[in-house]
Amino acid sequence: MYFLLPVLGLIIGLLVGLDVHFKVPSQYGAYLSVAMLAALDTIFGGMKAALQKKFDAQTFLSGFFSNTLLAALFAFVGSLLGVDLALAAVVAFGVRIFNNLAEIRHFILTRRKIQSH
Amino acid sequence: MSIKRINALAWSIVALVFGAMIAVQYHNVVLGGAAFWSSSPDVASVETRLRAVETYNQNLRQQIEIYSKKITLLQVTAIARGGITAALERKIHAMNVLNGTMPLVGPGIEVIISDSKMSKLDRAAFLTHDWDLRSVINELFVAGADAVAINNARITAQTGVFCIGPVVRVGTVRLGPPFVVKAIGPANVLQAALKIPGGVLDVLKSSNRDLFVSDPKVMNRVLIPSYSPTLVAVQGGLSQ
Repeated sequence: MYFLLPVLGLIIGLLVGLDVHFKVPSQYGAYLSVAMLAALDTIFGGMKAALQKKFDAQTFLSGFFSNTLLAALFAFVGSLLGVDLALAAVVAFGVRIFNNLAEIRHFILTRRKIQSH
Repeated sequence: MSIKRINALAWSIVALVFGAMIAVQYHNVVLGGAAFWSSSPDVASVETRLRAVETYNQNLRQQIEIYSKKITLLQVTAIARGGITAALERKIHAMNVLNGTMPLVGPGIEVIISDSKMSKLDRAAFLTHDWDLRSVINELFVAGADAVAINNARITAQTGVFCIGPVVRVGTVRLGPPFVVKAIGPANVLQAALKIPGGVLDVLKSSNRDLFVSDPKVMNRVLIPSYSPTLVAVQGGLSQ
């Protein structure tokens, strides 16, 4: 039954976000999108770790918050210096997300094969 | 707590925060019409540049003020000195007053017009419109006002008063309610002209629109600034 709790959390989060009408000023919109990408990367990393039975709640939580905040901070500092670090973050996190996805897929496939043998 | 429970809790917290982030971002991009992320960093730099230009313009305006004060001082001394220059300066002075290019201080009146509180019912019917303000300023000029301003925007011979949506454009500036109409001139005459039974203010009050119209107040000292053109791109024609 515990797997339903995160789904519930996601739904509540979506409803709260849609209901609050919190408007991020347009010049900071880029930082939120970078932070979101970092969050997505951490989530896929957590899924991978869970499949490999290496999941640790402390690492996951601290990684989630520090990654999102640091990504946004780096993008912000980059924009102050005239370096588009948001672009670098998007590329880096994008590569990591796809790597994680590929590993998850491989893991699921190999596990099935082992089971079928 | 078992490991399973802790893990589920961690996933829930992350899912909650992530869901909120997605929703906020969705609001900003799709519903808020924010720019696509890649063009957004430009907004910050453009804003910084805009601020720099605004500060620069502010400094220039202050310099203009200093210089125009010097010019006024020179003109006053020229008038005091007498002779043919004094006659010419007096004429220039009169032209400047007529033209609205000179700040004026003097006795006058003040009247405040504002939208109705019932604007939620039928917006257009209960708003202050351009013709409401036009009728008031026309009446003031007819009654002999030397200078008229709405919210410190000087009305000159070329100032148009038009509605743009819920705001009123006066010349090149856009104003919102409350509209403070100030006039310099024979104060009692101006007040009487506005208060004529069936006059402009009576029409505004009785038109069943619930507009807020204050009683014209006679004041000993009304300050009306000179007409200050905002920077607008001019197309067509030749400027020298």
